[in-house]
Amino acid sequence: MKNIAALIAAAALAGAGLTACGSPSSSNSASTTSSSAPILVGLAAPLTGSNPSEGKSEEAIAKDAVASINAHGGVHGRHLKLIIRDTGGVSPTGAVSAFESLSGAGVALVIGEYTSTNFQAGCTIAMAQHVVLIGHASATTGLTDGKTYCFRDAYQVSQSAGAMFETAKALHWNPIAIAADTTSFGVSEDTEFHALASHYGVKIATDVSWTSPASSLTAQVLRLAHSGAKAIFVGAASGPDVTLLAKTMAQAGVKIPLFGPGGINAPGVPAAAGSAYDSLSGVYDITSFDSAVPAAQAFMNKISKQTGIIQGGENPIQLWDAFQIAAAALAKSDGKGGLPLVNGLQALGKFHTLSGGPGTYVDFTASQHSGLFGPHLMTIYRWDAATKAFVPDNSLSKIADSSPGANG
Amino acid sequence: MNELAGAIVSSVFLGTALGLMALAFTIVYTVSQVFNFAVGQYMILGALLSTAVHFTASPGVNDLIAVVLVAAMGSATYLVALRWPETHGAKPLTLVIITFGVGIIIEQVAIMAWGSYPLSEPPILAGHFLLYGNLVPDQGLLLVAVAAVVVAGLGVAQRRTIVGKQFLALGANRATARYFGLNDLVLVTLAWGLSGAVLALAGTLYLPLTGVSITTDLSYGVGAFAAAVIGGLGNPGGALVGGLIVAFVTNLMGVYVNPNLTDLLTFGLLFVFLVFRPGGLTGNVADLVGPRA
Repeated sequence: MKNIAALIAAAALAGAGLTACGSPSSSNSASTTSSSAPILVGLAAPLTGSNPSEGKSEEAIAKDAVASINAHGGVHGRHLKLIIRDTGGVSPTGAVSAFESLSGAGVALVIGEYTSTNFQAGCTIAMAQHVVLIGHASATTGLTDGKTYCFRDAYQVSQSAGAMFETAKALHWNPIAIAADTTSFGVSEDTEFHALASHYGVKIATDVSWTSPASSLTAQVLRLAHSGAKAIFVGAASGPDVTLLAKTMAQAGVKIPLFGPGGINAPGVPAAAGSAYDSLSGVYDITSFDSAVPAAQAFMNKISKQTGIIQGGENPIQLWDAFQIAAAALAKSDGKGGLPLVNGLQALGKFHTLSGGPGTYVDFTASQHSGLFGPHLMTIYRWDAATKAFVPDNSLSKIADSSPGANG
Repeated sequence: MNELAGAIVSSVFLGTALGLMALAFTIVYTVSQVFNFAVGQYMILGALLSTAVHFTASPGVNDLIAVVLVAAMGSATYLVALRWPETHGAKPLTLVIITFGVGIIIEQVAIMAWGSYPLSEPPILAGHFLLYGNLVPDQGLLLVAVAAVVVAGLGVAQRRTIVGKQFLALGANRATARYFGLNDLVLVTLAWGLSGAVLALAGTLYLPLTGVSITTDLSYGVGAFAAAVIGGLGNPGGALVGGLIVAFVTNLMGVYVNPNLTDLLTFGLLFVFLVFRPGGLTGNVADLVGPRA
């Protein structure tokens, strides 16, 4: 049924896109025809579908980011103009329509989408249409390796996975179980977990997966419950999926700790999964967002208040940073998209944004690493039942810093 | 043994819920030969209304109110969306597509109203006991007990009451039934309402065991359709058996083979029955493939 909805939406968007569609060169020239004309910047976000909380948050952050850049003079005096398109959630059809529509509208670049599956769909279009794409959440290096027009400003899967195994070693979690979805992100996490398990001498008791969005995780939880695992490593970006996993575990009386990046502390998850998290013997989130950085925490509080959705994880800040990075690169390309913007991005190097740290990590070639948000490579948060929130665990974060991935 | 016991327990509960949904499916089909593909949405809507609207402090009363509301919505669906096309020569396929549309509308409105994150519905019975290390919630036993009463009651009502017989007569040949004075508007509206009530009952009693999210609608809807086909359309007891078969096959294969195959297995089962035994275990082939009167 969701597919039918997606098809209808795709047809409507494709129709809209066709009216404005031109050749790759003509679409990029739209943003550069006049020195005073606004520079069009696109955002592809899941405003509908299975996770509209994410889209609502992204819309608010993007509007704030563009307003902030414009308030500071824009790009050489030219203002940015934001164009938002709905990807419809985990739906390559919807994502393709959204990216094509943005490309057809003549944007200099597109920012999004938060799921690796949709980012992948967008990257294909970016490469074909020569429109720069910056993914603000995709931790899978394979998505951007060798793709001239596709960029990420997220950490690498190997970095979070390495930090998780350091933590497992310190907490004597052996064996562990893996629960991952079948998106590119989930598969990358799963692959990385298996690769690192033997390196760390940690056994994998069981490995379960699901197709996102999940409808029932009863069978998966039964396998996890009787696996003898001391902790469950989660590879899932979808907040609703992780919430369902936690609730199913709580209902079945399974108390094994959950640990992972992405969905565990995605926007809206603490409110939705809080009671289930309380019943587990621990829930740990690993993220490049460090609440010890005052500006970053203030930003998160502001967006939480603005949207009414409790923000968590690194995605909100990475999205904000993506706009700052885009503005800086556009300044170098004189507002032009296409290859000049690619060159502008590659010339940026270290970049100071909200993170307040040594610079945001912008992955151009999968070999650059210039630090993340705070003093740690990855910050580990622990669910606190008393405050119903994730609190940073500095001792675990320090342990995680000894991961080989910390060196990039 | 622990894992097997867990799989059996969860299969019984899921199978009972799917059985109730299949029963709702079959009530509408018996009267009007229309496949209602919005069953998943109605089932979850019942639980959402009970949970998110929070009418009273009592989960049982909330469930009851939700059942009444969804029953009213079921009747309204027929009167508003289906009655006119049905009486103006629309083909059954058109009516089925309309039910798809109704489902999409319910899903999107529910997402706008309550989001897509699974909510926790408070159970009527909060207790539990352990069986081979597996938690068996009292709410699940309540679900099974209520389902048994509903299925038995509707089975008897279908054969022994005037309305039940009128339902069957209407389904067999609507033109003849109307000729003999049956009020098809009232009867079909009643059937849609009854179907909605059964769906809401399934949702409010089962979803406290799993979490309530409207985005799981399609999966439950397909499971219910498979259960109805396997059990045999038109047979309340068959619907329950069909639900249990779907749940046991998908859960056991999910636990022991690959948990990511559950939807595939549901479709596979449906495919096998549609090809080799379209009348299901207890139904008549004509129920599924015969011409519409």
